[in-house]
Amino acid sequence: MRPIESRRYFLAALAGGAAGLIGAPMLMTRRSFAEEPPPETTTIRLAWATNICNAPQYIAQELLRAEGFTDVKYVKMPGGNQLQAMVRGEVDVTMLYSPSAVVAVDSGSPITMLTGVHVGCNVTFAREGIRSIRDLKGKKVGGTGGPFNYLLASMASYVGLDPRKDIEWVTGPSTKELFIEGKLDAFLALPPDPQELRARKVGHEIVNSSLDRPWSQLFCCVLAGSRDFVRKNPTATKRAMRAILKTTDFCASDPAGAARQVVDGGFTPNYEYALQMLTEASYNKWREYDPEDSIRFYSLRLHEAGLIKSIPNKIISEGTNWRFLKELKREV
Amino acid sequence: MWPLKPLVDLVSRVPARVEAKLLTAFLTIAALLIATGAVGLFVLSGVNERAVELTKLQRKIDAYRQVQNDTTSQLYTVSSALLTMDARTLDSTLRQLNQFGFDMDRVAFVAKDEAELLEQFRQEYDRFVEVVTRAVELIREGKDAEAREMQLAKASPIADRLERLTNQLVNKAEADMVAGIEASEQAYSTARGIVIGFAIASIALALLLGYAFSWSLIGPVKAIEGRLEEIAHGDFAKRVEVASRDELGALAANVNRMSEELGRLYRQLEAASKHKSQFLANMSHELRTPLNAVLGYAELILDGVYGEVSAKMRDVLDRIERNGRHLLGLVNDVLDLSKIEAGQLTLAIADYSMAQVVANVLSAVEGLARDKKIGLNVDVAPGLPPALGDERKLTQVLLNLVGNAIKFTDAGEVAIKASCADDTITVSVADSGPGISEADQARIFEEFQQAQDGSTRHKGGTGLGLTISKRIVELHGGRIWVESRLGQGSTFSFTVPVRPHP
Repeated sequence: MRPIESRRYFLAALAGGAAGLIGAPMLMTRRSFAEEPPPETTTIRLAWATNICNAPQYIAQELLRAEGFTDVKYVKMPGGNQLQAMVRGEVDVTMLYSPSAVVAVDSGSPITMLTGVHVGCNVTFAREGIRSIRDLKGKKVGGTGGPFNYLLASMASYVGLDPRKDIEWVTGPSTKELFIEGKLDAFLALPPDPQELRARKVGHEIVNSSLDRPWSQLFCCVLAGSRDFVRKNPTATKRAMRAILKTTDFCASDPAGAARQVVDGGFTPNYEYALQMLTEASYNKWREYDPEDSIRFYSLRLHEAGLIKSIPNKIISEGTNWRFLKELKREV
Repeated sequence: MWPLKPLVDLVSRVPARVEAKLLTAFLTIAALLIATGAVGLFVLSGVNERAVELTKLQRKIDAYRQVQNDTTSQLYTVSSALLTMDARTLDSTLRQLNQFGFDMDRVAFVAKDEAELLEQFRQEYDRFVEVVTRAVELIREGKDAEAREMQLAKASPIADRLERLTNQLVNKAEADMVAGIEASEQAYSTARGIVIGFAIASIALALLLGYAFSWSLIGPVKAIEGRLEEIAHGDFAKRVEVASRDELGALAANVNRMSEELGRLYRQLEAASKHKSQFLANMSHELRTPLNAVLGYAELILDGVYGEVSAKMRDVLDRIERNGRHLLGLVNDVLDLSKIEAGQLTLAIADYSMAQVVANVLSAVEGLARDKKIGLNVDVAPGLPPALGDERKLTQVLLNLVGNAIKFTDAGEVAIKASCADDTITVSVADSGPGISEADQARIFEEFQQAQDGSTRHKGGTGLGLTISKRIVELHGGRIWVESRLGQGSTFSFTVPVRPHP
């Protein structure tokens, strides 16, 4: 499907209420447009990364325009990560993995977490003989980021392992290939890698964050803004959040349509993987789940693992701003 | 410790007695110790409060974890019971659900901070009990499908929420605990800093006060001691400056007054001594002129210039000449001493031979010794080096010593010995005379002093010879002394450097 057709489909879905959850928010949005001042800036920059669980921000372009952003830019970062791009001031708003965002706040990075977006996008795969996270003690484990994969480090800490000593970390862009080649004992896969590993029948799942507690009750991904952008542009921030949370609802109500949008937008080539991911991950939890509790939980785990120095309360007080979320929960 | 001088001066100027200052210093240091102890106790009390707070937080975490476990267990039991649809199991499950509500009340006492969350949990729990009760009723009515539908659509989401709420309770309590531990660590760190800082400040202050107080005492004492030493060395011109307004200040003022008084007396004495010396020098000079005339005319008469001299007259003239020469010797001695005291005696420094000095003296006294039948024993070390000095004055010294030895020795011998070592010539004159008591040894070199025994009075003498000898030897840079015991003779010795310092 070409982009123009995709846009028509998306707008039709919003206007016709095909997704069920989309129509009503649109009406409310119109009312809020009248009450709210226009955004302080008409330009907004979002990250274009390889992980397709960021679908809500990828397909929010039309709604962002509707919110008053005439210049919506997606900053491509092949091999890079959104967090670094935000710290460097290259993007204004983007989705981040919660533990990475916690570590960033601890290290003083100028970011502000605004809302949780979805639950359950990551899956930890392991070789035969490894049945739980506890079995990773002394094993070679791969994941993105570095020097640790903070999401998997949180899981290890939760079951009593010391992620700094008990696990041999291998991080970098080629860890998936190393796992496929059998050179790693376990691998934390982020979309679309879980879907690909399943399709290629590589390893087996020891933690599926969409199913296994407590991970299935925690936001793995949050929407964050550059601290400077949020402080200077509160209305723009709120409008951007509204657009992205609406598309989050759209992902929940019409994963197929959202998957198509992601593919048509060129964010991923594989529709099946995108659909699988959007179906498995829970995009309908942003109203219900408390993002502060997710941040508190990850902060606790990373703090007890010695990977951050700040206490949870400090991370929350310095790195989060739920004001817009509270307002949007009432409006959207 | 120059920077502390102003403080020391300040303490010195405090108009209080020394004992009051010392008492104040001790009391201040004691107060600092008490204050340090009080701060330590205060800090300990704070640490204890933190420990109590952490204990409460731990109890809260334990309580919430219990709720978390019980909730998970309850939800599992309910889920199983609804699946089995056994009537007894369902009754038991409903009872347990209601009982769990009472258990929840027990955690309320630790949940003041999470009251809202706990209330939310309670509401969800009541709703869950309601839904499960309705599902059980449907099962009892045989409407299994509807019951299953209710379980999936209503009970499961509520169960999920309940689970999340209990997790939130635990997470919040754990986060509070972490915050409490950090606050406790920070409080400990701050408290440690306060105690250490206060202790260091107290020690520093105590040292400072100790230094200031002690130096406000030691400083004046040292200054006064130094001033007294200067006075002992004859320096009466300076004053000791002590800023203290206590007993030490009064002592310093008295020392200054004493110094001024001594200085005044010393100046008076010095002037009197100069006048005396000048008078003696003048008088000696004035006496010698007529005396030389008397002696000259006596000699002329004895030589027969004025005619034949009868034997009877010659005897008288001999006596006149002998006594005149004695008187001339006395006048010369007084003149020498006066010159020395007036600083007018100068040495005619030239090369001389001590062996020659000894020979000259020997030839002068040989007759006298022979008359008294006293042996003269001379021992001059071979190779005595030529020396620099006033030969005439040194001859005078040795002649005085040998003359005295012969004069006071009635039998035996007088031994003269001269040697050289380390560029110093030592000459000694030993006799077998009556010896000199220790008390007399200490004063025979002083002016007009002689040994206090009958022999001295019998032998005569002015008591100036040894004094003049001593001055002459000292002017050469040497020294003179005596070794003697009563009844065992005496040995007078003097040293002079081969090359005296200018």
